[in-house]
Amino acid sequence: MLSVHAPPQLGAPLARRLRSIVGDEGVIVDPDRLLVYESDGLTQYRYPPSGVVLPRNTEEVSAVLRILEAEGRDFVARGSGTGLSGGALPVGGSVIVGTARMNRILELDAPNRRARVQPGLINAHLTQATLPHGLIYAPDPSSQSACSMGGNIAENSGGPHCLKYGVTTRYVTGLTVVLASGEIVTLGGAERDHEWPDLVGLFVGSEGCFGIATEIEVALIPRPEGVRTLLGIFESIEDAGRAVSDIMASGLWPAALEIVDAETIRAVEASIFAAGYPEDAGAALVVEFDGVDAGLDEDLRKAGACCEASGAREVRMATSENERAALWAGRKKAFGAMGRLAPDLLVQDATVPRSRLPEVLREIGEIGKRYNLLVANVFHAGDGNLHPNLLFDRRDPEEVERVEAASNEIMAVCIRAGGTITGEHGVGLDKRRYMSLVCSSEVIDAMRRVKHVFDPSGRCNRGKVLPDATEMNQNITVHHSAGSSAP
Amino acid sequence: MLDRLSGIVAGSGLSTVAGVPVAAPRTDSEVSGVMRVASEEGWKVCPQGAGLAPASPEEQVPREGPGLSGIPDLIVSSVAMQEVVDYEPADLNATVRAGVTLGGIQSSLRAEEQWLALDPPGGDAVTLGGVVSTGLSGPLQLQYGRPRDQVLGVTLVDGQGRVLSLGGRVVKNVAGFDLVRLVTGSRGAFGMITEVTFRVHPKLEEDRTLQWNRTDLGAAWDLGRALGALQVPLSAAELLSGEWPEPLDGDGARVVLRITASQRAVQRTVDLLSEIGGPPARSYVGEESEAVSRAIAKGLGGRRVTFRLHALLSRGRSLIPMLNDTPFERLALHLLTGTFRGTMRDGGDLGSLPDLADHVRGLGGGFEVTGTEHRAGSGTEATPPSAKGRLVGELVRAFDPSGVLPGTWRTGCSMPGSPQE
Repeated sequence: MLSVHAPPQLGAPLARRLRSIVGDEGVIVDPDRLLVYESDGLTQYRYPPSGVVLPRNTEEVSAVLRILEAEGRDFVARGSGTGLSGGALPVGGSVIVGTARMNRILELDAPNRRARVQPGLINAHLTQATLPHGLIYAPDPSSQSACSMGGNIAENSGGPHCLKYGVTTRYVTGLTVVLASGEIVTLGGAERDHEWPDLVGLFVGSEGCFGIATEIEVALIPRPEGVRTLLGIFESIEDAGRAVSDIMASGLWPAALEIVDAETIRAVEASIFAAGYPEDAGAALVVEFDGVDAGLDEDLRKAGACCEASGAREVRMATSENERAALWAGRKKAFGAMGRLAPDLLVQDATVPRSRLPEVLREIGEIGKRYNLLVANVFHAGDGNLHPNLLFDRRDPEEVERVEAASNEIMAVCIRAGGTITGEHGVGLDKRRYMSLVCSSEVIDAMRRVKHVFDPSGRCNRGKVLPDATEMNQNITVHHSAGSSAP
Repeated sequence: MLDRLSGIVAGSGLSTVAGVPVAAPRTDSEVSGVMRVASEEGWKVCPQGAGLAPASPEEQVPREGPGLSGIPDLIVSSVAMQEVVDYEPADLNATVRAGVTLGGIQSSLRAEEQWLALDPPGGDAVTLGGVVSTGLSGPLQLQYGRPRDQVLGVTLVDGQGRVLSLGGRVVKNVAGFDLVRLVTGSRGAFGMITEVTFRVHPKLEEDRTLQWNRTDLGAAWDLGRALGALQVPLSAAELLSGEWPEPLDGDGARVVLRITASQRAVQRTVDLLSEIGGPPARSYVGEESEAVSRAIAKGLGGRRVTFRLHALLSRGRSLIPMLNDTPFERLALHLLTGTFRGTMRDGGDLGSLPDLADHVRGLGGGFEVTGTEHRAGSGTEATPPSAKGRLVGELVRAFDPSGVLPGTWRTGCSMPGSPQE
């Protein structure tokens, strides 16, 4: 699983040509500085790039890509490097085209509730800029204080509040993209409404395989007048899952429904991020409503009643912003807290139908036991979007093998339940091998043809998303254990 | 042709309308067989859903069906695809065959206090395959999004007869490129949609629609913008003018706002809106509120000449004088998105549409007209092919290399304001 590959060279003549476009500071070839770019949020893989180029605008990206095309060099776009599927890894010594210097808000058009930004802008910085106008940018991935808008476009990112508001693609109204040939193409735009076919929708979530988005136009929405949050403490994760189903069935429309399991609670409470969750709890459920202030207390009361009816031993309701932050703390700090349990963490990502959550969680627990691995679950319960976190030490090859085998089985369980291999982290490099489990060979061929339309030379983020022949034919199965359900 | 098709589609699924053969396959395998034969024979195929409610035999043949220009060799209808394949209330999704109508699925969902939050032009009679194929939405897009935001999965039989099961049945799914969105709104250019999985929503506690009347479009625009600026969550916000079906009354310009939320939230929203707009002239509650949405959808459906334009809201006021000079039958404007739809009177004067189109495009917006051979506006026809047009053409060929589905993109883009090929 852990792979480190020798770096190729960019070459002095190519570096000189690129510097002539982006300036001396915009090209990195020093091996020490390149170490930063050899991995992204998925640290199991290491692929050093041959070089890094940091353009400042669309025209520079176009010029850089024209040079790389002339040289026949592969390239990978990279935002903040927070991706969790290896999507920004420069496989084969690709040149990284980083967007770190393209981090401006180009236009904030409050009357029309829209903004135009560069791809390197940090997600949270956009909402910070729009709040004085009473507007927000709705998609809020957990890494929003670090992840870039370009990365969000590539991955079609979600977040806790996409339960109510939808994922990134709903908010992207227009894109300026640069194709691998260097050609600049404008897709959509708020002035045009939606065009057909929906090339904006096709580009969002294409994981950097079609080109580089250099300008992004997004829709903004009014900031909700009020927010209410509650925390339900449960003896078991099944009870918490039942509360989620009851809340969704009761006609309420929560903004977020998040569950953390017992392992996660213990990790958080033993860390510097302790949030005051009971350490002996089986699960904690965070429920949040937002909207017109007048109706929120009633919504929260109904949700609390659903929790109690499902066996919650305690329901805490926040009455101030500080209390709200405290209720969220256990959820938001979970990943950081896990660092004290093991040196490495594989954050898995899959979605299952909401009604199948209890059985899938039970099977994931059994898989963890069978492979003697600590598995902690933190997930977007309202969407059925699971994040089983496998804790391990990558210096132990035998444990790494067990992590890989357990991951395979978790994916198989989720698919068998009618789910999919990734809800928001993307396929990248890591999940190519699972693609044939959810897509027929005809569908994967169709995806290949679509990529060819945008990138006929195949130099744009080579080796991502689409499985190779070996991966298409591999057989990933789950070992059925007692109590597991049939497909 | 019918002999060739009789081995693929059961005899009862074959007919002719105005001399044009119509095949009504039931299964994906049958659709695939039809597409493969069409590809071999060089037939031009038009996928069709509810189609065009016939006033005369000739009108059953679409002059401008989904992505079609000219008379097809064969119509492939979804009329025999009528099953609700799967509906799991707890998972808030439903999978249906393409010929199920919007009204039909709403009836199935109502028993569970759920609904499909879509109100496209045409109303209850449109098929769900047609909703996805056209990608069209109505006033509810403001809160719930367009079909592209509510379609979780699609089965497409492409121009080569390949059966492609795209997406899935879960609300978050980024496994591979988003071909579901490529297909949604593609107007039949990539293939025939045979099955769709939608996200459904629980009915919220209260559903209320408010109506304010004004004497002219300009006054209604100003009121609508003032109410929209309140930044309260609205499910729909429309400016209507002209004659509309029941229960919408009056014949001037009307601002119509719909709110779906808890009772207390609705009441607070009504109070806030009334502070700006005064007491509404009408308040529709519950089923009556739904009926207003259906009336808007119905009013924009049918086979009349329809124009659709879009401009930034901040530029929308400048369109009002030109719209006042346009002899539309009825007009609807999404007050918070900047999309206008209008229908023209049967046999009415279309002469003002080109000027309107040119004006909108001059503002940087988009304009299109359907239901007539009349081409509105002249601003883009001589423009050479764009990079985007080339991409679209290549994407169509990736799914339909033989040109079985002669969508409008094959002969010229109908994308608003885009260059013609």
